[in-house]
Amino acid sequence: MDNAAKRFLFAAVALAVIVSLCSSYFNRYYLGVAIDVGINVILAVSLNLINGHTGQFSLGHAGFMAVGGYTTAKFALLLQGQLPPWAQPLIFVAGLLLGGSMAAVAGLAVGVPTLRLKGDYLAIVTLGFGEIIRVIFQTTEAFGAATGLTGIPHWTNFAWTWSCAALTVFVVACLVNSTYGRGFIAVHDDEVAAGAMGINPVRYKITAFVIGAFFAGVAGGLYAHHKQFLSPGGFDFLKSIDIVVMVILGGMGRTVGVIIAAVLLTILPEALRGFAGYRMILYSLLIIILMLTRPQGLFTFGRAAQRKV
Amino acid sequence: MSEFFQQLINGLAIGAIYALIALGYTMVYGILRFINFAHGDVFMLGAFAGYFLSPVVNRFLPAQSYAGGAVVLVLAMAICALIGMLIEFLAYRPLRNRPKLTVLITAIGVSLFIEYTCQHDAVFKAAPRKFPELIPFTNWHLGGLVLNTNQVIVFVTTMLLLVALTVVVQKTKVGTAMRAVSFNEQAAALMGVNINRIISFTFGLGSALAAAGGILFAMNYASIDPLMGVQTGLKAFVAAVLGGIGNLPGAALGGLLLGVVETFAGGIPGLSNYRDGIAFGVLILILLFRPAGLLGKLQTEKV
Amino acid sequence: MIGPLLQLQCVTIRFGGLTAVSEVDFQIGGRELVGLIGPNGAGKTTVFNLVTGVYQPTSGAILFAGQPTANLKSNQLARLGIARTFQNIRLFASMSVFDNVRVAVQLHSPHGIRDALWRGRGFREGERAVETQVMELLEIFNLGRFRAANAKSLPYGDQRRLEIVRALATRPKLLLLDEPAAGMNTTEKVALTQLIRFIKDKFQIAVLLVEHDMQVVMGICERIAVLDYGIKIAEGSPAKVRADPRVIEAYLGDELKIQN
Repeated sequence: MDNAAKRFLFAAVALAVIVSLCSSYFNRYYLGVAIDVGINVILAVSLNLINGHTGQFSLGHAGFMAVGGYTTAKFALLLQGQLPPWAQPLIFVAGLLLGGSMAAVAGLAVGVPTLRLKGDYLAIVTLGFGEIIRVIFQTTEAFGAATGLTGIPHWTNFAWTWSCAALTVFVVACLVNSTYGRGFIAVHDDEVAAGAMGINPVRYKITAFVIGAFFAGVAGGLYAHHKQFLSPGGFDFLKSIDIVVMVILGGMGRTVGVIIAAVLLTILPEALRGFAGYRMILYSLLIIILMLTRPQGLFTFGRAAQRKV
Repeated sequence: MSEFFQQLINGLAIGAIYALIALGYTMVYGILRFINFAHGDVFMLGAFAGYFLSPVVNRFLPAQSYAGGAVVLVLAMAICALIGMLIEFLAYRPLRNRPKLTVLITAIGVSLFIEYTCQHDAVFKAAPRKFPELIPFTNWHLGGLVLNTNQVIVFVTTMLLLVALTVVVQKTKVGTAMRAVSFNEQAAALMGVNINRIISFTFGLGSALAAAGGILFAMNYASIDPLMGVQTGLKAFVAAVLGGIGNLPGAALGGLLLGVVETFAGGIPGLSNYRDGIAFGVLILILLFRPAGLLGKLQTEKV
Repeated sequence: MIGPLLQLQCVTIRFGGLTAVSEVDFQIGGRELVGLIGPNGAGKTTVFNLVTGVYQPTSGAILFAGQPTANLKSNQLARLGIARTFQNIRLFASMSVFDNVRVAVQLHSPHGIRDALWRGRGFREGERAVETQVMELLEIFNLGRFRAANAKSLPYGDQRRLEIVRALATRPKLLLLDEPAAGMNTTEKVALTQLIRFIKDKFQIAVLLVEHDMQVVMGICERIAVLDYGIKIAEGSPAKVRADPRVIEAYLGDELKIQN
């Protein structure tokens, strides 16, 4: 299993690079959608670590994404003219790491004070944190305030996006599928019992927040260099809901299901472009119907069968 | 000094509206222990109900009259009560006894559904509309202070509704049943209380108050749009948490406090840009230092 | 070992005006099986929660292996060697039987996040060792055949046993059992007494049994302490406790009240 995980990572990165090299043969629109899908996979899988595995229901993922996106973009805009063109990939990677790290710091800042909160209270407070982060960007002149940041170089391509997506999947899956990582699920199931078994719930919760936020930040950086434009409105509460719906649709805590959901929910709105007026109405109906009929997620067929004695 | 009292009046006027909406959040939370995210949208629907009812009522009663305004208010409250009950029946009742987060996500879905449907061109359209003047408008000058009719109406209506609500909850049979259900649903059911009817009634009551809040809000700000319930609803929710969620006097107190804090903070030059963030700042502070709210009691998990 | 394993020195806890446990002195030796009994509301579970760090005493001290446990959280106490079960079974509901035990074994695993991500040889060997340990434990208690089943799908008695196995997997020096006989019928109770005796002998640990059921406690404990209204009213061998007039009064008085 263990080497299989590493092999998956290398194979996925190699595949992403190969596809990217051939990208001139593909339709630009489809390529753009494929990058959108990859970014959403990163967001959903990283949120799944917080919401699904650790059970810390967070509604502020778009806030972390914003921190990462703005940091990465600002970093690139500051350094772009100073360094020779060959240094671009270096700036990009450094910017993504920096963006992820800043988002991780934000994750720490959200995770620590909300440790005591559970369920819908936690959901609302993380939503509040996300909104505060957005309001800060919306009012800071250095980040373009309400108009946003423009002229971000177009550095995100298929290879970068899907390599990052593969890395996210690798990290989350490897963490959870280890004796150490079972602690996340233990904290989810019963914090008191987990504590009695020597698990430090505080550390696990914060770890989940920090790692989840880091990858959300990376996704934000990729997004910034993909769209070449950032506005605070793009990181509102609705974006957080989008990611949460992917996690729920995929079945909380099920990595494969969450990936499928992220893919579907990115492609579906594109396919519904013809019905622009009804698109979001259908989307909200989908949420309601899903919760009424399959609250455990769409892609969770295995669980019930496997667990029965 | 008069600047201070002027801000206080403005703050209390918006706070009273928050209080009306917060009561709906708190009543539903008290009984079902979940946050009815769609409540802010019922507030919006209340304002739109007033918008469309006003010309109809004016055919029978003179425009800009107190009698006409009162009829519009009562009718809008009745319509929204029905809408609230309908939402509960369709979306929340099938989810009774499911995990709270399932219900929370459903509520978010319902909220988005109402917002997007209302923004559609065949419904209300996304553009803001001018709210008609329901009552004759005058400004009163008291020393250096300016007080207008709409603000007075906000205070008077809120007071009347709060008194009415207290009577309903404390003195009537259905109010006693509401309190019983919120205390212990199963025990109440065993005592012969029809749980479904009480929950339905609670949604109706809360939605009627939200509709009143919507109309009062629209009278004061003159402009309404399908997304007006998002920010106001969230703030009213913060007010409910501030007062202690599940606690009726707490919701009223929280609403007034939040309105005042927000208005004063908005008056400080450096902070005015962060106006929308203030409510969330208050929410985070209150949950960190007094999670049960100002008037609430903390419940601890038994091991 | 020098001195007792667990020592309660004049422990008092008050909740508001109510004194739930008052000046209780109590100790457990390294391999002792001690019972803590008392009528409903006597403060047994409160003592239990004090020892496991859920509550902090208002006054007095608790020492474990000579070390004061004040301000230690339950996960730190687990690391020191205190393991517990819960009165209302608290298994990890979304995990298999195997994983429930695996979570507890990880307490002594040296592998953290970095190893889990790097997945080197040491990590893989560590994971295999953990798996072996879990299977050994499950086999000892005849739960091996349920390894892949969801923990909450087991029959009630097996869930209680699994909770004990999970506690043992943390390799404790002291095992605290909170009313393990609750909800069991007579046959199950007999099996439980055998199980507790077996655990004590096999794992060479101390056991503190908090129990309402006299039959179970009298049958296996070497020493029994009796609580009533938060005060320790008697302590000694089962025979001595059984004959103590204050104990009889505490228990019978309780029953007389119920009958009237």
